Amino acid sequence: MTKITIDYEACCGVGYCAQVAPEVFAVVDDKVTLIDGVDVESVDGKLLTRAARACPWRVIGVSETD
Amino acid sequence: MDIPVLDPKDFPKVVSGNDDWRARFDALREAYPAFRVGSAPEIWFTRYEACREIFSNGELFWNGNFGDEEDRGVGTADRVTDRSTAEQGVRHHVVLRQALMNIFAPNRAKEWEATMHRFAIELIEKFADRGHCDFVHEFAHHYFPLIGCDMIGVPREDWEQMVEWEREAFKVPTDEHGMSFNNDNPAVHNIIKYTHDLLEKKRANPDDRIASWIAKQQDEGAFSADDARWAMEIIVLGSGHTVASHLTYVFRYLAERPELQSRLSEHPDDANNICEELLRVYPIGGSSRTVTADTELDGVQLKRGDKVFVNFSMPNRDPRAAGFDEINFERKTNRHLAFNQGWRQCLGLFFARRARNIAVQEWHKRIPRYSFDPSKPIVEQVYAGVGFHNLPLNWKV
Repeated sequence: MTKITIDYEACCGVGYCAQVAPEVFAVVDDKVTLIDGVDVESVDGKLLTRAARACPWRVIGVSETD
Repeated sequence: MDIPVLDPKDFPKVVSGNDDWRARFDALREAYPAFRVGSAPEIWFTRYEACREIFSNGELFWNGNFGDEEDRGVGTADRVTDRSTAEQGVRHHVVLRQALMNIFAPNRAKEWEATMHRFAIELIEKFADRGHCDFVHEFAHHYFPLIGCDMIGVPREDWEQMVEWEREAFKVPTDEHGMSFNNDNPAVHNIIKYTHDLLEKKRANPDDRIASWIAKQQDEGAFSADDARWAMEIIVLGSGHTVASHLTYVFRYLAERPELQSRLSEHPDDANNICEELLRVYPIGGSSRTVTADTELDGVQLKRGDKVFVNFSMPNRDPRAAGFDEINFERKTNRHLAFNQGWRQCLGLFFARRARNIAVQEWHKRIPRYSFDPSKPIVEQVYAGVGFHNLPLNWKV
């Protein structure tokens, strides 16, 4: 199971995550938000990882759990 | 659009403390989306959306990396980065920043709260019973630089020297490139040499402080030697003046508003919102970028190699940005640019905010009512180390 964690306090709204994965992330009022209704499980894990790695503030964590 | 050229005489570097230079900058913003000042190469952009684009788009508006020559504003035209190189540079910078989040993340800033409280209390208690102080010389110039010394791992016997160098480094620039700090000042070179030497000392005898951590990153291959040296420099130079200066504007404003002093005494948690809004309205300094490809911004044609500059005061007070037409301490989201924005946003901002809030809270616990002494002239610096040179405050004991 793919799990996303977001450190909202650290997020400064750079928006690289939304550029990489606009179907998953958006930036509203300088904070990241998950797109309504997105099913993280159905998103390519590599895309999520690329989005996480794009963030200068290391806000997004992606992990696989059983 | 032709870029107007304005008279440098209208851009003094030092003014009397009652001079409302920001209002003049507001008028310039309304008159011009961009302008040059005399023969200086920088094109000043003035309006919020354009300035935000400058900071957000690192591939097109490049800032060098962690203090190389372009970053410090002393690059030459023949070394202008192209867009492709800037793209790689942004990626490299992002990787370094992510590593540095091990030190600068919000939860790490929280770990230093006790130290921030201790420094604030020690400084305030030296003058609280006296009934007056010069806030700049007796508090602001010491507080955050001392916290920085402790965090970095500067030996205690060197703290006052570092504080003195940091004060010197941000005096009025005497060199033509000095938009951010005084490149000609020996203090800047002393700081750079000291941080390099400290890195080596901590490599040999590590402790639990930042310099040791950076040395370890280099030894493990995560940082190059250049990355490690520049990380040390930017941490010191980036913290040496900014919070100090911000606090001078906060207390200058609060000193004439007893209702806000009461509010902060009764509701110390309001410090963050009040101070963040004051940071928007009275931000410190500005930032330059180099254009990496021909482009257009806010109706202005730019060529590769052009230098653009944003004085934070102009976009932060732009009424075109939602809500920026009034001071609002209840603002839930404050999208100001005072910490820069985007990929090069101030790495220490979580520390800066936390330390600032603690300083304001500890002050108002001990000195709940105070005023500015208008009989003593104050001087304000507008470039490099923006802020008041002095700030006499009085209170009843």
